[in-house]
Amino acid sequence: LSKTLQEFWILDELKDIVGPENVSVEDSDKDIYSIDVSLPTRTWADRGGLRPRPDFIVFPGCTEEVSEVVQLANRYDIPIIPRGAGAGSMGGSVAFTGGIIIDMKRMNKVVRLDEFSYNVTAQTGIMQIHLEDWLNDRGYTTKHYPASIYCSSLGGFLACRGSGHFSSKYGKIEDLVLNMEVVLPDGTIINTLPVPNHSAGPSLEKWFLGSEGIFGIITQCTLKIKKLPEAYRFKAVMFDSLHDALETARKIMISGLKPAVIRIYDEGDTQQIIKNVLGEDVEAGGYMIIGFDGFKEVVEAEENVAKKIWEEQNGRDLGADPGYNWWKNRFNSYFPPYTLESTRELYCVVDSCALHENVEKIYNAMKSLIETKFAQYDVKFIAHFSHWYDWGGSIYPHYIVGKKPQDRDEFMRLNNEIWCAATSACIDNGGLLNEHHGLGVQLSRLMKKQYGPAIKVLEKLKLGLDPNFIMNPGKLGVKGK
Amino acid sequence: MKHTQEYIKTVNEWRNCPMANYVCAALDASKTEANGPKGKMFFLSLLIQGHMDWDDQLVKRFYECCLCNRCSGCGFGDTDIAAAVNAARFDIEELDMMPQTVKDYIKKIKDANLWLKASPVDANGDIGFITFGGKHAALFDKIAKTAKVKAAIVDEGEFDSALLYELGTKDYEAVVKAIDGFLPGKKVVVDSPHLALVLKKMSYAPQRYQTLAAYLAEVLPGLPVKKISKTVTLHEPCRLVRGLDDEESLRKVLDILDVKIKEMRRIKEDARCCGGPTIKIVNPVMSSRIADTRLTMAAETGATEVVVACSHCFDNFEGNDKKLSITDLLSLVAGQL
Repeated sequence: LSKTLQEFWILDELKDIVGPENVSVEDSDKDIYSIDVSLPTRTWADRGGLRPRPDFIVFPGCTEEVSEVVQLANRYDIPIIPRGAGAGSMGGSVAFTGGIIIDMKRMNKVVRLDEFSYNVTAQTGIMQIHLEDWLNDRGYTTKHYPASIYCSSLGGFLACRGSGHFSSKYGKIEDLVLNMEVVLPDGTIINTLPVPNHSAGPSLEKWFLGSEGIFGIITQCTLKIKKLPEAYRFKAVMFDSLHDALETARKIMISGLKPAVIRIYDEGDTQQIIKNVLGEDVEAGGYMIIGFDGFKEVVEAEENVAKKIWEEQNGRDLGADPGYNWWKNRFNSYFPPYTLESTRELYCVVDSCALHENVEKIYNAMKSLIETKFAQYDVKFIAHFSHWYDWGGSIYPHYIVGKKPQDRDEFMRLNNEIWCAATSACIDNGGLLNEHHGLGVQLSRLMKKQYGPAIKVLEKLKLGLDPNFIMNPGKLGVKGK
Repeated sequence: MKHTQEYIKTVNEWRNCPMANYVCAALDASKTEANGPKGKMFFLSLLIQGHMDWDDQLVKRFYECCLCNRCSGCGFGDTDIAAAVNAARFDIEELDMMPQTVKDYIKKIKDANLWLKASPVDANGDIGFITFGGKHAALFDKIAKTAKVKAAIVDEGEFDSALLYELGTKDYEAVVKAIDGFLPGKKVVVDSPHLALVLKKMSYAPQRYQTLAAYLAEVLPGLPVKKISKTVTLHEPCRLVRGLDDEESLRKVLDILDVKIKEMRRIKEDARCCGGPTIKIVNPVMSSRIADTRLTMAAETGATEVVVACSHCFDNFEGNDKKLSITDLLSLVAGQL
């Protein structure tokens, strides 16, 4: 009875803060906010599991309202779970212990366009596609083109350190950030310093990038922008082996060339994406899409230099058409009927990143382990390699289980087992827990393995910033109460 | 859930997919993911499997959808999200769980609907015209006379019959049957793109029905039309450009009149919904927000006049606070003859 009274009290206060029409305790809202795009949450719901529902969903309209809601949560000792567009794949925005979901979708305004210093300031509830379209209409771009551009918010990308298709040239989302406004776990509103490269102490914004809401809520952000490029050039190149393709990517990236994109598909993913979705008729080997953007003369020159490098690795130029086919249709595989989310398959993405010396080693270790250890389940392991840097690259594998358990708990247990085995193999070979999806709850159990004693830095920071441990509990594997 | 079951492929493909949420006017107006296409398909999936039960709040969600079907265009298959939501409304009717406001509205439509009367429409002519709202009958008659054809005109009165279908009540079947019996074998021009879409889907002779926009585009080149030479912005009806797959007729009509278009964002197959009509019955605030967003897009063009080609859009935009005048296509055309 007292809990009911407290719920009434809290609801009443929340309505005072954000307005009655911007708070929901409706069952249908609680149900949809019990899932994101992660396989565990949607499978659990799909198979009749008790859904992890929040107690309240609030839609603040400004930073001050976010701050007041956070202060309220401290007073009542209630968890806060920030949520952008609900498209996370790790369960990071699901209220596993109940509490208040702060849905940022009302905070979706472009605040300022600086055409002198080339940056844009936006509230973080804006959908990335809406921000990008708004900029494109004015001749600019963020150059952040992730697969989930149509379904994720700017805040989601910042909180999980997202990567876009053009990250090899323009960087991940964190590389685009100039400064941010953040609501700390006690409700204090702070601004990080105006520019990220300085000697005025540590870069505050780095603490919040990838923190998945456990250190605060990013409410506004200023991003670098570029003029829309004069020209694009894309090519598809075929190699005899995946090794040759990976070696070419390494050589191109350490050469000082700046390709906007290099994507390499192993045989399985060539079948899955290049043949089935893009309709290209290709042979076995290592399939590469490479692209440049910028001034016409420069991209042409860059491609010519890159061509010498891929020819040294016996790469066969398949021409521009399949390259442009990828560019024009690159998002297709994320929409029905192609997306695996549409199915009831047991599959997951176990992406990672590593130094060049470890990329292929990690791929081989994961593939061998998964296809051997879980052979009885007829597991297929396929991958592409889609974000390349001068220091290394990413590995983007899927495992797809052919013989999946029918029992829900068995299904979930097997998923965890494969995921942990794959990710552990990755860490053991010098890779990281994840490249651009974040950790949520799915990978939080491996944080200690990844960080070792350094996890204490995050724990102390959490304790100092959020002594009541109200901010997104259970996420990132950082110790709570 | 027998009606919804017919759309199980759509439900399965979209129940976990948020990739169409960004185009959803209802989600944008309410901000809750429950109102997006993923939300609605997720609920239907759980309902079909028995993991969830209907309640009054959930029922209301299924009327908080414009059925504009922009979401389905995001995918590449043959799925139809709006049809799945519409089917759920038929299931809701069978469960006798319709919101009272919807029941009351349906009763008003039925009481006024002349196709459901014992003596349905008695008319003869070379061509038929079905309209509602009392404003278009005389205007169409003027056009028909100029074109030297005898038009049998039926004005349904206050309500568009299509809403019986869109609200999910089986009474639409009798209406479609009666309309099919009107001027058998002759061409019938349908004013409401909503009704035109229902007839295209449900009639025994869908080929004889033509939208007003398509008819005007066909007949105007042969008529003495005074040019206007002005600039407007254009809001296209979702049923016309998506459901009926006609992006050209409306633009052709304006071109004949020498009306220039300042294009707004979200046009043609991407056209954004006006917020009417069924969503207005259960949630007028949301309907008004959707209309306001569309009118903001119109105002951004710098135009002061918005041409619409659907009476529901006209009703939802009229009296807006953006100082935009709303011009109805048929009035515009008839005024130039």
